[in-house]
Amino acid sequence: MNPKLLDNALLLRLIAVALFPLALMSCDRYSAHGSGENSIYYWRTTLKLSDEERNFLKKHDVRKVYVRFFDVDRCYDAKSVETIVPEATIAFNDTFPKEIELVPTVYITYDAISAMRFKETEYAEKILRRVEAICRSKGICFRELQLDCDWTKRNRDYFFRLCEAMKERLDSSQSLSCTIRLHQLVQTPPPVDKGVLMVYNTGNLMDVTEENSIFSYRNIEPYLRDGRLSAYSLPLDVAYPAYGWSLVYNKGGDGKYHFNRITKRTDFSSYAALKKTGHNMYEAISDIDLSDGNQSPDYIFEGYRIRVERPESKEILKVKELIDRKLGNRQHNNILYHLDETQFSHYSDNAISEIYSRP
Amino acid sequence: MKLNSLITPTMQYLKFILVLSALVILGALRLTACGPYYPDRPEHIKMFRACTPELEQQWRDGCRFQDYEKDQNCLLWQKISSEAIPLDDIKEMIYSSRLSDFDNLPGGNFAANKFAQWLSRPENIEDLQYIRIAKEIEEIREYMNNPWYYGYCGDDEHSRLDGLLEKCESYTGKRHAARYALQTIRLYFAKGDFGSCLKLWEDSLSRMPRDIVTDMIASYVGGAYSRCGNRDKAIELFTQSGDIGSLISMKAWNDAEEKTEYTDRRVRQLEYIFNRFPDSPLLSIRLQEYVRKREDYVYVYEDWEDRGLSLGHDDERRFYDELKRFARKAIASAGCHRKGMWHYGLAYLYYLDGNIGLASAHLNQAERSETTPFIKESVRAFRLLVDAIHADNSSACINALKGDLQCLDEHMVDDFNLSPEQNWHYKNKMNWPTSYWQDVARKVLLGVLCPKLMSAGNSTLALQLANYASNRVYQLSPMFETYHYGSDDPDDNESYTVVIPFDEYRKKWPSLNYFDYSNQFFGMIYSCGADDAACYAQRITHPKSELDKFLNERSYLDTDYIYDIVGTLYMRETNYKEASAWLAKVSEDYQSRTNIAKEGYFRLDPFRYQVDKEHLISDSGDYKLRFAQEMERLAGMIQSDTEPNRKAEAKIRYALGLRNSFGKCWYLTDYRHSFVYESSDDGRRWNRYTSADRESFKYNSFAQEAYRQVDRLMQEALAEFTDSEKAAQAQLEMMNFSSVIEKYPGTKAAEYVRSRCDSYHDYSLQKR
Repeated sequence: MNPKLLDNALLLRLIAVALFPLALMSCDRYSAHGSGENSIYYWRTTLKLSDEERNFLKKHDVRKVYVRFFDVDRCYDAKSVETIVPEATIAFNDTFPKEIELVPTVYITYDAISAMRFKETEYAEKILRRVEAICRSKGICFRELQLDCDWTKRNRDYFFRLCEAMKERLDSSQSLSCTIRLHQLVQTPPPVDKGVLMVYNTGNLMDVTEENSIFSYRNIEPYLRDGRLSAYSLPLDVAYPAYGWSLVYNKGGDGKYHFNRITKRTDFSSYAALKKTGHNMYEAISDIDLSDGNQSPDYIFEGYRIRVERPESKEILKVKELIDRKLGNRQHNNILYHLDETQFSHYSDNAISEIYSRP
Repeated sequence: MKLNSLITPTMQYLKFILVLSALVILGALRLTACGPYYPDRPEHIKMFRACTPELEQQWRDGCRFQDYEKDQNCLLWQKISSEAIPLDDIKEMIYSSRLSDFDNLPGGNFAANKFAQWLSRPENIEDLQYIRIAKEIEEIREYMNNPWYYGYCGDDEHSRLDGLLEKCESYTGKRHAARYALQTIRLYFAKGDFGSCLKLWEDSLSRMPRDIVTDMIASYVGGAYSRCGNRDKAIELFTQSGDIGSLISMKAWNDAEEKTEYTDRRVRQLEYIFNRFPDSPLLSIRLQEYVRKREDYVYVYEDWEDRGLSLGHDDERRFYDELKRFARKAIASAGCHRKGMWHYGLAYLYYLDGNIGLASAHLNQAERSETTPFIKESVRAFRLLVDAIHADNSSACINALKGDLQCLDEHMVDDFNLSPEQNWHYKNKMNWPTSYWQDVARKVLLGVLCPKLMSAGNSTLALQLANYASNRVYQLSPMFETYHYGSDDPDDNESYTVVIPFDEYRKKWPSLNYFDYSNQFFGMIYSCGADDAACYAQRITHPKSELDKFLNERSYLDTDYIYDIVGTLYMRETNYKEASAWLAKVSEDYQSRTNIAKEGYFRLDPFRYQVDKEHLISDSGDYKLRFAQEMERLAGMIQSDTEPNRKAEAKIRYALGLRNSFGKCWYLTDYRHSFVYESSDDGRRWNRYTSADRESFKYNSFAQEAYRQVDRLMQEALAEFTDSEKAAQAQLEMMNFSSVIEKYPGTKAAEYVRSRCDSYHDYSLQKR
């Protein structure tokens, strides 16, 4: 890296730190509220809000949105100057209402964190510089940065060192949070200010016999045993799902069903070629194309199976009740994953309000 | 996963045979899918080479020849600085330094650089200022091209570039007018401001004296014209600047050569380039591409065609005919300064056609014609090949060989002229295009000369050359990258790579040695008779000539490895006396570093009728030697013992050893084996139906001869017993239960059978 550029960056950083209180006063497009706020994730590659989505934010008094800024992934292109690169950077074609606080969120893939060994400081710097550049270009002042990573025992140390390096670089008014998956609860918490317990994607989507890979009480409950939540030494917010999808499986040569793809469509009632074989399972009795004609073909071939997955609000609330009980008097906020009008129609306002409610 | 870890005492026979087969297939010689790879046919190695990989890469990366531009630019700097400053020093400062290096001049990293010293003088401040601006632009652009950069209008980088553009535009001097103009044009181009590009060009730049800098400007301006829709002007500027890549991308030749005599698009393109830039490096890239494609076709696809798969053969034949015609036209052209390259191309194409006469004629011309030093080297390599094709086993040829080998070896050494620390980067050195001259050695020696010498009866020299061609690379590039498979390690499941000296890999690496039992030398000695292999072993241990010494110094002469092979070949020929003599010379610890030992073999008792892992021998040291000695002893008894029962027992034991050495204990006579069973039942009951093993050796003539001897000896032995108890015992071991009962009813063996069998019967398949 060009040392001169680094010098300039350092200078800019110092200026930024010095001017931060002023910036907070002048930066009025997004502001934060105190504790006890409704939050939601925005996980699309283009920021564009529909009227329904704006209404949702208003109706449910959403004060904070965790916006996925970009992914960090391994790059296997031999010609690339970097082995770990940012990908799928969000395009800002719209803005959030000014009273909503934006939390830049960076998703780090398993391969990327594994490859960061001993280069965590370098990548903390790169990630932060990029987040800052995006924020500067969009007039966003961020108080919290979130790292989302499915780390395991094998690469835990790398992720923790990345978090430490990131914290060193954030100024005193900024905090660092990260997602905590259920399986990570039994391990030492990462060195961040706050965690967001991800209570979704809890099952194995590859497995055709899984009941619901997004969310199921049966899958979640074992992770919450043994006082893990109450003993967890990191402040936690909790993220619940408000989305659904369908998983397509094809029959392999070995006679077993293999995961084929995810499709956003969850309503198959109008397809005669799909025979319902269980309460959320369909089987194709002939070949069909699920596309609307003006999209690229979306074929389901005879023998394929489709499992529709959408957590029911009743079950979400059951898990929420369990988590609230386990967290006891630990104050926490609830977050929804994720902001998408096509998904909200499946949940009543009342159900959303109940998920957001705090004990 | 290490497969032998799967073998547990509780494993069922089926699993065992599956694992056994897998081990043999994967371990001994056949190797895993991720490589190292099997020996190619060395005669099919592609050897044509008209340009460096770097040149090819430059073209592939950006359709430009940056090295040429850099060299010309440095010459210009030398012209305005001093002839006394080496071009390398200029190149280093212009292309390898960073902006920050200029802060420390005349000290810092480039204190010894003469160009840096020159730039540091106060009178050269104008030159230094220009270089600093150019560096800064370059580094900002480099940063902006990094995937981590998130650009937006008004960011620091854009602001800095705007400031630098102002500086370039405001330069009024003459000394660097063209260079500042180049930077200005680049910045306009980056901003998409093509109108300013064209205006600047038309107003002033087009009248500047021509050099590499204005050529580079012209190339940018051509791009600007192209984007503004003026194709003719764009082609004119691309032609002026020699920007062939842009000409090709515009398909500029489509309507240019109306009088062309060629129908093939590729040849027409060559003609277009040649007519404008007869010495363009692109011609060498294209020639190499086309000749190599022909090599691919001849070596790989031609067989397919024979089987009826059409690959557009007629079109390709017409293309190569036209290519040859064009090459002859290029040679005849007065403007061509690379006639040697075209002769070389023609020679190689005729060689691929099998027309060695015409190939030789053009090769002679290539050697005498003007061309680049690089092509001269390629021509030299091709000369070695053509000479090998013409060579025979005569003393004249053998005498000439030393000189050729010397030349070949010097080039190989140059190819690997790296420090050992740097010289491990080829993960797989076995039969892999590690370096050009290594390929030449393999093609010329392994592909042509060794088979010729072998056919002429000079197997010793053939093996010497094969050893050299197969193993020299490990001397020159002595480090090897191999893998630790984490699944073996319960505490750490991570696999990792380790780089170790090749010698250590051969002698201490606990996993399989992928090389020494798979390379072409091994293949060649393994296909020899034992006496030929022994002669070779004698020759390498007692060199007679300078050639012997030359080859010995450059070959892999681990006598344990060689003697073990010779001893094993003698066992294959059932010459146990010679086998014992050679195996006795193999050091005791060698067995443990063979793949066979690493895979857990050398433990079955080779003299049992039922060979199974329920009866492993406790001390398996010197397994092969002990076997050979025992067989030698038994052969002596069969010859000389006069006591009929002892003699019969010796015959049975000898026959069992012989049978097993071409059966379950195949590693006594071989380095690999894969059991094949006719039915799944045979496979499941592999340990009982030993006769089914014979199916696996049906193409092994040594085994077939051995089986005939086994059957004869067994029959003789059973007939020769005079002691009915001993005869019955032998029948019992062979599970010939009915024979025990019927022929020797009064013996203890018969009593034993009667006490255990409700209804005895012979297992016909077990009779041998």
